[in-house]
Amino acid sequence: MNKKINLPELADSLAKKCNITKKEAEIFIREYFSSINDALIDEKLVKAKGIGTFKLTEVKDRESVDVTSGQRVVIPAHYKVSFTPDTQLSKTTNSPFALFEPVEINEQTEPDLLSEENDNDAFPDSEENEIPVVQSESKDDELIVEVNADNDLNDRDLNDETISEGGLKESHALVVDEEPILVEEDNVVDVPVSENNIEDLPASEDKIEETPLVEETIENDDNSEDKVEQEETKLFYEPVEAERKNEKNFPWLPIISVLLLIALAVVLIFIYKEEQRLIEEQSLYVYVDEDAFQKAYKDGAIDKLPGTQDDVQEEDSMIAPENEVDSLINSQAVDSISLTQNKTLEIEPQTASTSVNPEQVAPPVKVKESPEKTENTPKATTALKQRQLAAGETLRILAEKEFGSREFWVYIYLKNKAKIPNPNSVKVGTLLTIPDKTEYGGIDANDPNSIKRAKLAASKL
Amino acid sequence: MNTSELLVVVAKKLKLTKKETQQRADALSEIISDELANDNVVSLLNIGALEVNKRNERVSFHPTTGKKMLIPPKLVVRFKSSTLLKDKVKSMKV
Repeated sequence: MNKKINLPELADSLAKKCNITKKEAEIFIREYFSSINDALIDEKLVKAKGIGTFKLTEVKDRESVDVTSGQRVVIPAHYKVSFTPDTQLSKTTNSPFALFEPVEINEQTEPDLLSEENDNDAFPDSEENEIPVVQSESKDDELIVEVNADNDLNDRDLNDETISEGGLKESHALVVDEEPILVEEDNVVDVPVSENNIEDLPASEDKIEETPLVEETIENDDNSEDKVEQEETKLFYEPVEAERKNEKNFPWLPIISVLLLIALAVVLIFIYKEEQRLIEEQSLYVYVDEDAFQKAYKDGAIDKLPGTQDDVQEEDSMIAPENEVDSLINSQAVDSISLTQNKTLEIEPQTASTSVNPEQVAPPVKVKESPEKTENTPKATTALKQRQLAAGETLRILAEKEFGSREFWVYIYLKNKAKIPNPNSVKVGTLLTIPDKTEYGGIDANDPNSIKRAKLAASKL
Repeated sequence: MNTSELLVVVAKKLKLTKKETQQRADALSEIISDELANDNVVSLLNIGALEVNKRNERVSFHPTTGKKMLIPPKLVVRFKSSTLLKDKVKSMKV
């Protein structure tokens, strides 16, 4: 890399290539270049095929100021050598960047996106980047929401612990702790009802029906949340009063409260583990079903699904304080929640796959491949030519190789629609059938009408 | 002077057939383009040298639609004339 190739090296490779002696090769190279040199001076223009055109261009006389003396000097008109590389030569040298094409920039495009493109040398086209960026954001959002729900739970746990720590010192704390059970049991009943709505939700595949149901559940959540908060405030106040009354403690009370605390810790650990397991499952699911998820996101189907999951998790975190009170209620509630969560999880990919329609995929501009390396093994088969997509190849590049113009990529896509779920991202190694040049009303790179037709077909997608 | 004329001149000087010269010239240009593709600087002896430069991506405007376009980065071949040739050419009268 970045070596200087001089005469000896050039002669060496030329001798090998043409089966001549090194001396002969050296003489030839010398003569070739000196002929170019002479011809350039004589005729002011030399075309050398495979290298380019050398040309003498005129430079008009101009005035300049001498840097040292500050005097005005007239630089006389002269010639300079200009060089235009051969198209073939510039193509081969530019081959690492061949997949890039000019891309229109949206007015709304944020400057961040631009810099991101610049950083990302491998895929600098905005269209290429935009879609994955949005998708990853949505995934991140979901994850963040999950984490938040988790934090919520932990926060509430902390509250509970402070309450029960207060309970260490007085006897009334026990009574106080038990009081809210009745009220909270109502809440617990409430919550599964709203969860039932969620269960019904994904089952009904009508997207229009989904929204009102989701709103309903949110309202329910709000109500139950208020109740819980009220209870919590009560819990906070009453122990403080009780604390004053019961400065003198019976010796067995701390023991009971310690036992209670241990039981609480066990229950909380159990819930936390369960929660983590669910989150892990969920993230696994998201990872495995990434493709379907991304497509569904485009169609706006999944947009709502994570929301419903969030609802469930919020309820989850709201039930957390109750856990402390009665472990029985707890485990039941947790069970029901985990069940519903599992259900929503199971249903998610279904709705995703049903709502995905290959024709709804955004109009293709770029094809992105994974950077894995696979061997390019062109396979000639019976009637139609078949080719395996190599690493770094896009449908457009393939079309240029096969038909001479990138615009004809749309025909390769149409021919292989069954194998290409998303023309913007075709997997490396996909066996593609190359359409015949007579198909689709004729494929001819030299015919402007044919290219126009291809562009039209692409815009219809 | 175009390629075929150049080849005739070279063939005459080296007493080679036209076919041989053609073959060698093609091979030479192939070697040069290979070396340039490998990001090497190729010296053209007394003429100068060819090297590869990277043109950065830039934002430009479509002349007819006036839309902003991102022009991708590009690798271009640059010719660096030797001082000998440069001076020779400079001294020529327009």
